[in-house]
Amino acid sequence: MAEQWSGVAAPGRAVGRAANLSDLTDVDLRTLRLLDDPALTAAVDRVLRDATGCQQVWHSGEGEGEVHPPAVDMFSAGLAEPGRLPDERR
Amino acid sequence: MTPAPIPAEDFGALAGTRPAARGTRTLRAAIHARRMLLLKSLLVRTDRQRRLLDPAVRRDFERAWALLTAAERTGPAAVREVLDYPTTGAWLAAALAAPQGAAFERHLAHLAGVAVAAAVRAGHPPAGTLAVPTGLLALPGLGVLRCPSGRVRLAGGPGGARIADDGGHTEAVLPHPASPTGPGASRTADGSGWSALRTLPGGTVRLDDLDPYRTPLPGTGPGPLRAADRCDCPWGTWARRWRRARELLTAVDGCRAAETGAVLRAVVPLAAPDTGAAPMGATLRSAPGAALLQLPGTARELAESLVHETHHTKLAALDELVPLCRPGKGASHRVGWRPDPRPVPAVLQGAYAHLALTDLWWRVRTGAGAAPAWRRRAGERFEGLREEVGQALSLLLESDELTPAGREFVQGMERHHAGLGVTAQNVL
Repeated sequence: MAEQWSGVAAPGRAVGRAANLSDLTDVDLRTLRLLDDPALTAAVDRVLRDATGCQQVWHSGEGEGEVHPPAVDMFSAGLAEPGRLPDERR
Repeated sequence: MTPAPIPAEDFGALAGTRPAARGTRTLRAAIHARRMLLLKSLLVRTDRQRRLLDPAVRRDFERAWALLTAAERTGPAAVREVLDYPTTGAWLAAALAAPQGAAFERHLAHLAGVAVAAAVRAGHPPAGTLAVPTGLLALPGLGVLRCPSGRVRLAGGPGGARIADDGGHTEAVLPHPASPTGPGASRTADGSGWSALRTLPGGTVRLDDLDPYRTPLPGTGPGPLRAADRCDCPWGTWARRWRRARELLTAVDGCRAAETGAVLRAVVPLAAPDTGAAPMGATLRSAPGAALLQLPGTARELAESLVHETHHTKLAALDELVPLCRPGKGASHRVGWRPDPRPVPAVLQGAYAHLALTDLWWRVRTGAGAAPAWRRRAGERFEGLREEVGQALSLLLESDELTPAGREFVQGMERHHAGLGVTAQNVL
């Protein structure tokens, strides 16, 4: 699937990948298996080449600094300090 | 097939983090499209490597696939719900990353659980037997059945789908979704073997303390992402705190509360933090819609964590549809909310989640709906967080690792950020 940016967004314009993007949103499973679209095949090859790429984790709070296997990217996005309030209901 | 664009208005609204029903629908469609791409990738890999697969594994995979497609013909929307459930995405990601051999074959066998869940939800009567090499048949979004024999026997009937261990050790009848009890309710033959997921109050979000794919598999994730087992998961406390957190959000920002309920499909309880450590949360790129959380100490903390994790899901889904970052030199940058440097994609994720939190605190601080303690706390911390987000946005706009779409998105974030806190009457 193409990943080119289609241009600057403006009201009424669509924002997304290029027009040859195969939209799988409304494809049924039987059709999905039979699909042999070149753009889809290219997208599948990219997924298979970088299969560990979709195993990223965004985490907040404690736990940073641990050793992570190279197959998994750990991105700490952090969360503001929680801090309990004295009059909070649990 | 047609392109899958995002209307510019929705793209702009998403950049500002503000909830919008149309934007939520767009993201859910994006999640489904991505899920279908991963499923197609699994089918292609299985076909390409079919000669390397154990014939029995291949046969069971085809049986499960046949059940899945038959269920889709009966109830396509129900099957879509199963495919889009967060742990289905985590399974696909794990299977695709598994090395060829026994590990890959074990992941392939999980298609049985996906297919059975789809059949149950669609009201399609299943039949035959399927392999369960792990001894645990996991039905995404529904529950798990212990299958010590390694196979599950399936049958349809007037009461619903009957799933039973092939050795007769366990059994459950899962009612048709149209029945008064609905999917997920169950009758068990001996009171053991089947465990159903529970739904948090006031909506459809599951507390998923069962699915084996709810956290990264052991050895592929950090220690703090260890899932809480059911026996260590206080359902009553989670349910009470969830209900109260939704009430707090509704009082401050009803749209935000509704968005949380629409975007999230599951809360995954994590094992408790070490003594004195702050509870952590996480979102898996492969499982958008699931907030992985250690039980927060208060409903207010849970409310803030839900907003935070919801925005990781939103950005993860959007980034699959419209790439916002491009491969760069791997430069790292310091941000206010972490002590260590972060790569650009992580800065963007953090800035987005914290912009949503800033927006929430702005409304807590200026609105009348929040309790005085929360209002006071938000007032004390709003400016500091706003400043940190502003610095991160400046850093992102100076980076050459954003795509043109990413730059436009960050500019939208910056516009929303600039409006927060300008005047007390500024209602965004």
